[in-house]
Amino acid sequence: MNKSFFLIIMIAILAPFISLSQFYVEPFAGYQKDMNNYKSSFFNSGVQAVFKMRKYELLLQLQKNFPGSWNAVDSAFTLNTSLPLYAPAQKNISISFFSVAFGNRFRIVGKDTGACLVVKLYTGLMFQKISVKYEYDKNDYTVLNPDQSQNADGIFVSAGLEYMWQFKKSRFFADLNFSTPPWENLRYPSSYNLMAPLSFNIGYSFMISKK
Amino acid sequence: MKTAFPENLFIFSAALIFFHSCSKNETRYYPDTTASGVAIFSNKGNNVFSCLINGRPWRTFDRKIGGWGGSSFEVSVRKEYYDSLTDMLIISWQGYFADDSAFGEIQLLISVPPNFSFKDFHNFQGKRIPIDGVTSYFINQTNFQSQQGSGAIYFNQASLDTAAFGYQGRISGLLEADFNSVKLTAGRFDHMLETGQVFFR
Repeated sequence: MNKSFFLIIMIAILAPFISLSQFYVEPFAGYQKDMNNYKSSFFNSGVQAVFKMRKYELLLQLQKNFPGSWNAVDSAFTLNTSLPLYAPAQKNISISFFSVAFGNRFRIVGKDTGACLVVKLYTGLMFQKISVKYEYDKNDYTVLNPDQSQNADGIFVSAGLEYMWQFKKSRFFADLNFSTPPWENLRYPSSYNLMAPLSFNIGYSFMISKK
Repeated sequence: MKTAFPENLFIFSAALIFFHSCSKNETRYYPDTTASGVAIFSNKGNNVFSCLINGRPWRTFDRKIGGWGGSSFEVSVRKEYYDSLTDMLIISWQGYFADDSAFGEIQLLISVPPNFSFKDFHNFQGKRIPIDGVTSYFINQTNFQSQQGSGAIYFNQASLDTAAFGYQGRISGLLEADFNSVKLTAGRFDHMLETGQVFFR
């Protein structure tokens, strides 16, 4: 998909909401567990613009994680008879991602004041970068079925539950959110999968303009 | 009768397209980003052998199954009579240089006893075998000439089983060879073997 085209569409959709709604900016941060690669977890942060109309809120979210990594061992072999046939090849896999998404926030329990429970649904584009670094004797040994560094981007969807405390001009929230990996196949056979983060975030909602 | 020719041509063209579209490429070539010009070392049945011959990337043809002209295989394994005391186990790879599509072949001939059977092939698995260049040897026919050389091969996988019309199995591993003026380096192979690729006398 053409990324520029996607961003233009997003801005065009948002334009009418800006003048018709309450506008919030919400920075958030949290912890993520990658459900597709159980050894990996991350800290993430993001910010979202919120356009509120009664019970419904339209969200535009930018999110990025701090790359997390894990170590593993692959098998390497050599034809050099003066060396052992097999040697372990240490590898470090690091995954990072950036996403831009549209979201909807629906209040399911609670009122305009006090605490409330909301459902959040997002869809957008996710960009993932997987870096693989090996440490072994590269002159003499060859790694069997090596992982390779690669990038992937594609459409994703996510859903979550959020508990929100509402104050006069601001809000505080905590949410649990699950994202699918981007809808794209890896180009190389790999021991890892594209990241599918389960996130626990807390954030603060600043009212910028009132309707 | 006037319309017969175009109709026949249409049917022939449709059949040609149909058979061509039935052809399936069973080779998966994943370039090794750490060694330019060769595929990764794998044992997943990617059906490719690649190496550097005096630094020039050489690889096997893609395996095509079905389609117009029938199937074509990039590798064959066969056992042939050599003399009264020995047979030769011959592995042949057919391919081309990346910068020159001319047909070429690399062969490995391993001396085995006459009673060597498909079950004994499994004994190579996990072994690093020196090729002395005399009783067992490589043949390089990639450059319109035939050269005999020594080297070594490592079989990560080597297995054969009987199948309905012959044998099937898999081989994967590493190899390198020395043909004096020509050096074969960074060789890595990974093949599923089907009936039609394996011939044991």
